Amino acid sequence: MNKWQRVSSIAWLHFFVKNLMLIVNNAIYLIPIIFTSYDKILAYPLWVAAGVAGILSLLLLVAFLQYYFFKYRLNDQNIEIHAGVIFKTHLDLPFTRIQNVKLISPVYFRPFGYTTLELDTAGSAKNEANIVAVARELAEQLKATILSYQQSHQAETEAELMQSETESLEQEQLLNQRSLKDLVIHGITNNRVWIFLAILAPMAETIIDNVIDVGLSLGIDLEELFFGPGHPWWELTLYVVSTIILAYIIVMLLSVIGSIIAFYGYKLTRKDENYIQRSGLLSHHEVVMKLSRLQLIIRQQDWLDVLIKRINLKFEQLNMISHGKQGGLRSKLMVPSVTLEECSELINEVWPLSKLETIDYKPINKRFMFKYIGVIIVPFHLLVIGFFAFNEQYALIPLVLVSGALMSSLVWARWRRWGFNRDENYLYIRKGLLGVDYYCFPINKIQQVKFKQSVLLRRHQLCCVTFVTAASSLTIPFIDQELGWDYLSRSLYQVESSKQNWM
Amino acid sequence: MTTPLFSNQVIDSAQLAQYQHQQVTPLQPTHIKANVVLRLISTGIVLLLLAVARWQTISPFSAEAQENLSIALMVVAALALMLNIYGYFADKAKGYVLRESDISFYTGVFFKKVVIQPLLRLQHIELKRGPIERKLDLATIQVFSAGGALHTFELPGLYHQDALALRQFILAHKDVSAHE
Repeated sequence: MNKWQRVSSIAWLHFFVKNLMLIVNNAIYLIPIIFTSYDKILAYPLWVAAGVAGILSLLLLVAFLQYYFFKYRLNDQNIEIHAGVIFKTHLDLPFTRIQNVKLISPVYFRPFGYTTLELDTAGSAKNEANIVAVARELAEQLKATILSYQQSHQAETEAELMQSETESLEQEQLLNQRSLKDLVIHGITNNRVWIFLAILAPMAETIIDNVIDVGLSLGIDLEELFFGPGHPWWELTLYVVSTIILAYIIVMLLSVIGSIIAFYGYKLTRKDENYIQRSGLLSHHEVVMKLSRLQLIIRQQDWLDVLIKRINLKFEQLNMISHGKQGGLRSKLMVPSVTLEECSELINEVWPLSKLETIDYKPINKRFMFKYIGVIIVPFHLLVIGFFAFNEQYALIPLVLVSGALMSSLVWARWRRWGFNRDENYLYIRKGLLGVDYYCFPINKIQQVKFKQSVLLRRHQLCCVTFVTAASSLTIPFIDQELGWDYLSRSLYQVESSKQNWM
Repeated sequence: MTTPLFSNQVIDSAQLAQYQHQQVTPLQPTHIKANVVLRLISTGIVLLLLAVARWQTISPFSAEAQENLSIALMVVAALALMLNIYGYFADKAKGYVLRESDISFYTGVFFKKVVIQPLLRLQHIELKRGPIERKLDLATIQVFSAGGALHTFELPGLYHQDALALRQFILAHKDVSAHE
């Protein structure tokens, strides 16, 4: 296994598609130019055809070269990748530094049974490693090699080692799966339109142009429709309202489609210490997370979720974005729209000691409301009222009062959602506005803490404390200064005295 | 590693590290002085450019433009004054504390902020020196944690020797080496 080897020749297809997408993405800016010089382009069909053929053959050549220079080698404890045509890169990645192993099968690989092995690292984007186009079985085998190496080298005591060996005989155990109905619910309660948009992005402008063209050809003139004479006001209102409802329905429909594309056939399984998520309609995504890599659990509910009692349960690992990498929904472990019981079961399965759902959350100081209402909302609205009074438009003043009351009640809702607490192992934070999100992370996984205090807070002996984990940073605002320091010093004591690894 | 089984002793918070009452080491006076001079020079250059534009006679602006320039000059001068005063006090307020198992960085005049980084959780540490710092024998230390780029912090205004010693201390720290 430790000889330099090329990937399957099908890899050129991967490079070709990738380069083509890159060009198409960048060519979006050219569309207006092409559009305006349409006639001229049509005048020289041969040249255009030759140009397109030239670009395509150049792409093919580049793709072939990229394939030709792409080599990898697997050693006992590391993987090396040579890549690049002009700018060569040599990557040497020890297995222990690999955070996450993903198998990605794009549409164009699937008929051939190939997949791309993506290796996430804790470092920056530079260290990212992909082995494109390996046969499915080989990829599974490589993944198993890496994971088993990690397992045997991170088990610290012999007892743990033996335990993991006996455990590895276990089969994958199914923890959760999502039905089509769940995905429809997920699409409705969560805006997943962007998944759909991401697929369409390269063609977005053409689509918009076409829609306008179609509208015009059907004789629909938006200006005439809305602002033309002879329409009474109620008709106009009806138009606007029905347009908004229509737009909303379309967005929701797209969101449902997006949700199904992303999560079709969702399965969360457990094998030994690894949690494995598989999903996807067009391309299958597989995310593997070692339990020890888990940094943060988020129990997330939008306002619609609160109404229909569904939860998005997120298991956060190292934050890819803050490490300069492409993250996105698909590299994350999230169980979409689970029921309350399923949620409790999953949390219990992953972190049995966590009291995320049962602990009493302490409120933050009421001055939180005074700050937003007193310092921002009231002065702003007084200013607007003053402006209207000055211009003698008294009829508008009640409207301003309503807006002020509405915004103040939102601040109240936000304050009411804020909550925090801790126990021996975990810190808990609750926040939200209309929805509610619960965060829970082990105190031992804290990377850094911060204490913040403005002049105003100092006067009232209040402070904000921030806990930074590898997944994200969480702040508890407006708590008593002594309590804040107590939280910080106790957390630090725990991290520094127990000296546990965070990965 | 599995979720740890916990020892759960009672801890008296009065015995824990008192981060709020630490003796903070301020930045080197040389660094603060250099910053004052640099700020004066850079704001001075901006003011000078504006003043030259206002009173130059090579191709004079219209009277209206000259008036606008005068106003701009006054606004910029006021801002420059504030920047210089604030910058001085902001530098004065900065400081750090190195303890056995963590390093704290203090900043802020109006918004006090303390960042505390356990040495155990350090990913790596970098020494940075610009041309002026090299001239003045100063150095800046950059501290990286796995919290990501947003939570990287810098300790400026250390003597080069001190910075080297600090880095050596941190790298040689048993927690950091144990972590690797």
